[in-house]
Amino acid sequence: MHRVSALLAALMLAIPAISSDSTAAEPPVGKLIYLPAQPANIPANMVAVPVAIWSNGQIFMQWMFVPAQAIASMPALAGSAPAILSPVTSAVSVPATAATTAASAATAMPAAAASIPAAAVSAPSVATAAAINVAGKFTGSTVTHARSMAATCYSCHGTDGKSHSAIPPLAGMDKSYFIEQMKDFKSGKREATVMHQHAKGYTDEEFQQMAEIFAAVKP
Amino acid sequence: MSMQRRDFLKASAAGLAISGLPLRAYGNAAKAKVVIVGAGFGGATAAKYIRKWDPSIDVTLIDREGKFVSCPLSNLVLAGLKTLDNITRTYDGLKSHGVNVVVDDVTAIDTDKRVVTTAKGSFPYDRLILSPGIDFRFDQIEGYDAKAQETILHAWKAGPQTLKLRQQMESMPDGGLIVVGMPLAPYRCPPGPYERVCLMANYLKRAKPKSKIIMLDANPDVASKKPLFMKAWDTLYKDWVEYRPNSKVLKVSADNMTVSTEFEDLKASVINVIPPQRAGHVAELAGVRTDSNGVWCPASFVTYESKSKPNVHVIGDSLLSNFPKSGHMANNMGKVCANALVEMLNGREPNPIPIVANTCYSAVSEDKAIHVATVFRYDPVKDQMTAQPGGGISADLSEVESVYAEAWAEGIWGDVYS
Repeated sequence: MHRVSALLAALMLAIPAISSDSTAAEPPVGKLIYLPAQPANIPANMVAVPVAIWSNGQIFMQWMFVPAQAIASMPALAGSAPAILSPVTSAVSVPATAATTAASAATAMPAAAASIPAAAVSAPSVATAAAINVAGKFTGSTVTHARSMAATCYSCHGTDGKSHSAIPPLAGMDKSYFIEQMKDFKSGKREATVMHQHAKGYTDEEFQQMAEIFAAVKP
Repeated sequence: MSMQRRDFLKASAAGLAISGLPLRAYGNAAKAKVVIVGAGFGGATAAKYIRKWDPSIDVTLIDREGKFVSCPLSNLVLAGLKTLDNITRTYDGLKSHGVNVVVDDVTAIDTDKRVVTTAKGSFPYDRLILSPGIDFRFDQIEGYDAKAQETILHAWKAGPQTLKLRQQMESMPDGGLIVVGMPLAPYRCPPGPYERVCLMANYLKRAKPKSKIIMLDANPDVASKKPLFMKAWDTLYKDWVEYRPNSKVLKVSADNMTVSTEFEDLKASVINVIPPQRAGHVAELAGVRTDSNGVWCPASFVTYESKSKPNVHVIGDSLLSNFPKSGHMANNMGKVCANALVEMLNGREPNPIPIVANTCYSAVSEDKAIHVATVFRYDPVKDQMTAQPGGGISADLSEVESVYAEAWAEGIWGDVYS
């Protein structure tokens, strides 16, 4: 069972428990690191719900399909803002929500997301911003995403960025220099044989995460 | 806006409901055991990175070969530009990371009892990673039997066959014909056959200028880095390379030294036929070679866990995927798999949105090379790895990329085996 279907199963199981569950989850706080493109083909009778997974100040979004019927049976919740999600970048600052119901935690995420301007997700058939707090179960997510991502560089630049060839080392590289170079590769400002192609595959936030890893390595 | 608002509210409720629930519980062994079969780019990387990220995990790496001979750069050995020693690495570096290296043949895998059996021992596991590479389907080509295989080589696993094919080229007369046959995609190393033709031609141009190569490609067109290979053939090897698309090798005869397609029979001095392929035999032993043709292994792109056998993970060329079957991809999958297993064996969720990248260089001459590069990101809705925009091939054949191609090899061999 891959992750999304695991979550979906959890969702199905959880539905009867909604009204009695008054344990407010901790709201997501941090930067929106990743939001994949909105799904194009949504199966009949399903809605695509963006799901937040967060820890250590960073939020990842995924789309999951949820039966429309299940969504329709949810009680409406008061005091929340409309959700508009922007792909990437801006910091998500989570304001204190006024809601005092069990819903408060869940409303926090979209309230925060609403502060992100531009490039809004607009298809009305797509439900927005369900937040799943897996904090505690998921403490490693940011760390492991970052380390896994940085490890994609090691194939050419050497393990931990310690290169022993004509390919430049990344170990110990200044954080802002790394980020600037990656952005320049991405924009085409810095010419390259191959790095412009790689740079376009990562978000600016991911450059930041990788930069932190390489800066921490003793060359 | 009101629509959005309403939808959000509903979704929020769903989110809330989930928040109190425990997610799927993963194993939590005191000292977890991971067994890995296959010490190539995929398996050896997974072994090293599991140890790097959690040294408490016990890792056993099994391979029938006592050392690693790289397929990347092996075409340079054919051209006489590298030796086999140049592209061989030992497992000593892996041992220094605490990997238990076992050189032996795997004879059985019991996925219920979770035990791998080899000729000399048995190895229980909590998680098993299979990175067995490819097996050849000689039965798909008439006449390509064990006896014919002594003369008609694939040289598609670097090692003795690489040297033997080199010797065949050296001993053929000037004016002789080499026929190279390649299978329909997917096969190991998409640009590899075209690189091979370039480097064989490079040798002929220097040593046997009256000779020629005919390439029989089962595919309808050059399947990788097309404009660049076409340019290499046009500008560097015009008199030495003849490329024929839609030309699947149907039959070979070692006795007559002939190759047959639907259209013609060719008689040649050297015949090099790369057969169609499938996931390595070990995948069959574990019962994970379960795609609709029984050829490749379907698995999760988040954990690489087989879709048919729990606790068995499949990486590298054996995987059913849209990935190019390259060493670089296997290396990247090894890291994602290692990352996921380290989390799961510690009772945590794996990274839900893995990223892998491919960088693949091909030499087209002694001093020019080309590349293709792609970043893939997991899309949980489609349950597939999506090639990110921006990837692509070299602008041109270049000397600087020839330097990088060698540096790439040093880099990745070091990343896997040092």
